[in-house]
Amino acid sequence: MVRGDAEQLHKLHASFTQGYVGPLERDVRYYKRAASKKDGLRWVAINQKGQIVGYVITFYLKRRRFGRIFEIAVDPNLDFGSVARILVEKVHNILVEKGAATIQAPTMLNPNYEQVFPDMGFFKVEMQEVFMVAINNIPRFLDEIKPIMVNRLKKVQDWNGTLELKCGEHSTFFKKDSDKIQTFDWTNRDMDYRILMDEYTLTAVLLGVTEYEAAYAEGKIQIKTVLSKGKAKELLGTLFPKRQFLAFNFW
Amino acid sequence: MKTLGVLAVCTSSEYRNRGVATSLLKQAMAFADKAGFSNTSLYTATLLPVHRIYERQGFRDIEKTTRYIKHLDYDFVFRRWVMWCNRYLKHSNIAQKTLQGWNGSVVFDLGSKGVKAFRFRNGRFQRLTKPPQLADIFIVTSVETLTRLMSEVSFLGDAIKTGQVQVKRGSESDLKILNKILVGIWGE
Repeated sequence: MVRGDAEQLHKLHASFTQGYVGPLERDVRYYKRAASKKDGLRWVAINQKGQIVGYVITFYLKRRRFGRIFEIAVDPNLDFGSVARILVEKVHNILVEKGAATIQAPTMLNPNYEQVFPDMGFFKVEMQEVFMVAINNIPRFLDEIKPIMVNRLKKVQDWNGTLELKCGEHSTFFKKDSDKIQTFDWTNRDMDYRILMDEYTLTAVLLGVTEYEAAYAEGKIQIKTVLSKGKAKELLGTLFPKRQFLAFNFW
Repeated sequence: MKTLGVLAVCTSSEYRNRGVATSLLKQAMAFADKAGFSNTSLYTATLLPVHRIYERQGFRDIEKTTRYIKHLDYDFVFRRWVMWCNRYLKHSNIAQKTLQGWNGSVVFDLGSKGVKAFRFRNGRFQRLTKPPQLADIFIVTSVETLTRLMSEVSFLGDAIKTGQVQVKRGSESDLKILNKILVGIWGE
């Protein structure tokens, strides 16, 4: 990884995390800083055309002999496991050469890590460290998630209509007409599809850490709709995809 | 998504249980609202007493972190852990109080990874390169389980119940102390 890769790395990261949610921020400067370190622990994977298709960023604490695989990103059109494995093998060997006593790869939620680490002799530990959220302002929160909801609604096929997302006393409204999605803060129209849940269930299903089916079964999500049961379920599944990668900074 | 991150909350031990952390949190959350943040987020550990304070202030658990771990030199890892125990002890009045009067030696038989041992004597933890013949506590387990115990993921009592830890020797009171040492949480 060299400083000149920074823009490409930033673009790769943006495409890798597209559609995922989480408070993770990256800019070109971050990659320039990462690439300027000359300890051989940041690598890129390139394809035959010389384009960057993946990268790994690793840190090593010499006194503690501790290596941390901090971040892996892979072109979403490629198989994460096969690209990531090459990158991890590379940094693993370098860390062994440096004399690491422990190598760790922390993740908030990345099911793809299962394809890489157990086969390389790593064992999985679910920590007591927990990410907590408090929603201070529900209307503002609903406003902030509108772009995410719009993107997901665009992916819903064979359905056009109106949708209300209701959290406590507050609602946000959407109208889908093929690719055109309109949002409203208020409407007196009857909705085709109403989803009711509290703000924490919404946070969890939005981040994909709770499966919408489980939340629905537990009564945490209520649905009022004129749609068929199958269509209603399909819509819910597209709006709140099952467990997915959660893009997070470990601050 | 924009979030206001709470990085650290700490109250001096002399001023605990007086609502200091709660009022600091309330201030931070009021600031978040004023500054236009819809949400506040933080990392903590579920076993810490502060987790309850966060819950009372409206924080909810969203997801626990996962670590993939590989030990290449467990002897070094164990040595670091004993060092860390001493460092922690130096700064924790409650740990010093709990260990007052306790002298004990502990042996972990880690199968293919060998035997690791330490003792607590004269107010300090010492790693033992040669395990004592008759340790106060003798435990058979795996590196994975010991890592989980040291990472506050599971408790000794649960690991014993599930058979991940076999206690060959050790009184109930000694095991209680060992659990505190391993997990590193000293308050009730």
